[in-house]
Amino acid sequence: MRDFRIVFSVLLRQRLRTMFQTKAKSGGGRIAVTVLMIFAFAVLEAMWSAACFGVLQGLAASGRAALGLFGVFLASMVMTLFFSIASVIGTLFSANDAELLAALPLRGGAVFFARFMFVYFGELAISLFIALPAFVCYMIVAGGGALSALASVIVLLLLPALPLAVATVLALLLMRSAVFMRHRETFMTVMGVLLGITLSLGGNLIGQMMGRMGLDEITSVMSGAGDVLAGASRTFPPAAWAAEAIAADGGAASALLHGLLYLALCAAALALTGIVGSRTYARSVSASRETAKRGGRKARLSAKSMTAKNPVLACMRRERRGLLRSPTYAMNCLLGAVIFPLMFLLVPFITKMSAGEELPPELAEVGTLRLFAVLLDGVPAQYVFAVALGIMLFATFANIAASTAISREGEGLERLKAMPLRMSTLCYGKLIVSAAANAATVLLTAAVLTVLLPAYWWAMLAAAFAASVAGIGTAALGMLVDAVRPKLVWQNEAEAVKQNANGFFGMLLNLLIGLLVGGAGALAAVFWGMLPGVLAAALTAAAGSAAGVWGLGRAADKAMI
Amino acid sequence: MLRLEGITKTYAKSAVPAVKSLDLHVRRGEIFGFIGPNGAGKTTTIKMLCGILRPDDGRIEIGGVDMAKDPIAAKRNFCYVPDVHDTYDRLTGQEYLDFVADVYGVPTKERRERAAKYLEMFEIADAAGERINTYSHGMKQKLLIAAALLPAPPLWVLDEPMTGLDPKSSALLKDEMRAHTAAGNTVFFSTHVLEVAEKLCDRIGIIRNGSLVAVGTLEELRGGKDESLESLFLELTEDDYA
Repeated sequence: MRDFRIVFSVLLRQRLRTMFQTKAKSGGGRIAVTVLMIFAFAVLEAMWSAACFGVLQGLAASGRAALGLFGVFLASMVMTLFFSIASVIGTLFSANDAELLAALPLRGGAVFFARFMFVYFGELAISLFIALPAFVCYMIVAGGGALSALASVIVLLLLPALPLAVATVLALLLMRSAVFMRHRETFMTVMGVLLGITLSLGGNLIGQMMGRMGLDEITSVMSGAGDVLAGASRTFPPAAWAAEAIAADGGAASALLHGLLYLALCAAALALTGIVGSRTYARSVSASRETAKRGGRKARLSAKSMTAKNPVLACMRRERRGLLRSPTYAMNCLLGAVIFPLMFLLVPFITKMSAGEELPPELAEVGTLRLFAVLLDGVPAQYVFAVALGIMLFATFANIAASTAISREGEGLERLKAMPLRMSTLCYGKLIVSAAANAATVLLTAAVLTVLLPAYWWAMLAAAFAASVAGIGTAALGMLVDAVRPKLVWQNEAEAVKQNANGFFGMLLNLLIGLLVGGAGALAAVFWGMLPGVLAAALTAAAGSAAGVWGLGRAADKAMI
Repeated sequence: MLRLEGITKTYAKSAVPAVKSLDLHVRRGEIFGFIGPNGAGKTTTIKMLCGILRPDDGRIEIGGVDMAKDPIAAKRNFCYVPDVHDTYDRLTGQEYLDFVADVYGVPTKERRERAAKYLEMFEIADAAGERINTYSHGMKQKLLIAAALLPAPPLWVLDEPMTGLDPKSSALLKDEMRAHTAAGNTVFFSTHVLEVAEKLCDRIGIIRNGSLVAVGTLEELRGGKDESLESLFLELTEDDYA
């Protein structure tokens, strides 16, 4: 406990001072950024709260408000499961102070717990962002006493515990086995990406199935006709237990029972994480710091790679290698590019499963992947184009590869500044990688949508073209934010990407391009036809991208030195 | 080759300047040693002359090019070895050399020849295909030096270059520094090892509290007295060690 306290307090101090660092001589810029951040968060939270209120009010009208809570808890847990793996690996294994702490007489378990707590609090903040408004709305529409409030405090504080414990144990075991590999980082990246895809798609599928399977049973339970465990326990009990602990629809005894069950499960999961962490963490960290042996791989100086290149291409290659070779960066910046399009493949499966017996016989006969092709048969192509364009543009927003590109350089950016290299050149090299990642997401999304709607392949192709062009602009705008206010001081790679507000700001700015391109393309397509829609979207995207690239170059050369 | 005129730098959170009106001229063909106590302003000065920090006041000229007016052209005239090793550790040694060569525009033939030469010289050729995060402290330092020497610019700026080097590599680096200046080029380096400065440098500058308190050859600094550089240094920076 003493070791944990020492390590935790020093890490906390370091983190807080890094968060509030500034190089500005006046406090004006800092205050402006803080106000902007609060405003942006407030807007998003208000929008989310309004949505929660509407849904919960609707559910409360039929006495099913607790179902809303269940859905929000479930969504929060699935999100934590998916997004926390990269944070866990980054915080536990890519910390700058790993060697320093390893050399001190501290228990490995204490260092592990101290670092784990940082991941926990980070995930808790995200969970509260999602779940707290839902809980407040629930209390307004459904009411609730002191016991509900007390239960909610426990439930909300423990919301990330289960998924994070699963993600951490998997990451620890992955790291422990990676130690035996020669190319351990490549192994970690590939395994991490596969794990992320599996967890994300699996979690999504289970969540969607539960939405259907639990609905009837949970509804009847919430209206007092049965036992909450009877329905939801078969699929994913913890979220249902948490919801029942707060809603107490089965009475105070039921709420207490389910609250205790939830508490016990969380405690067991955290204990298991602690045991695995205490036993494997120190060894894994020390093995990951092994140095190269003499007689390792010789350089191949005559190889094709050692040839003169344009500095932009040199920066591009360096950026690509850095992104792909760091498990933390690859999972945070590139995983979404693969997962997002794959999600659409699940939609027909889920639709078919959700519809169940209510599916008309003629549709029941249709192959799952052909479901939408039959359902949307005869819909004008321009509408399909407009929706596909919106989906593809959204895919480019979520990528934080661009909006954290400069921050990922860390303090090593100084070395680049000493070279005869314009910062705009560096940014353009990085931009190629980010824009390529955006284009890959767009093309993969287009391919998946074409599989689902083969008759509209040309609408998908047109939307992919416009969205790929817009993807250059969204990447440029995201990077511009990071060029102007990079986060260069960090202790581990997760801080540079996931815990970097620039990713959030980048998304907000990208909404502008999305509204411009999507709006112009969709309106022109719907009112004047397909070709004008494609032209409007492509031209707006090209203009936005040109402006973004120009602005990025200017900002980089002015602000980064 | 290198001219600093009245450069001044005050950090954001400090009322005291880290470097105050510093004037210095380093000529072609000389090895210039820059020494001073910890916190005297050595690294701040080096970061300013490398374009990492902007001076609040003053002018920096490298190879006749004003750093403020044309930083890219000025930076083509020098290479820099920093005092910290947190380099791009996901790249291999070879990839890092290739990247630096691309930035400086070194043609393919020359880069291969020079990379082979320096990798062999510092005995890291066997690890050049490995990622930098697997390198030891000394190997990273050797790689940074190899990368800095590869573009062969006329001015070398080296911040504590001997730190982490084994005796053989250290001796080889000193030979390279001498050969570089013998060809009419310039070396500017900082060190805390006064014996190295004493034996290697044509001229020495001593900085204290952000100001240059002495500049000249060892003989000029001694002023006719039979003193070692160490005693001279301690004398000039007496208050810092009091």
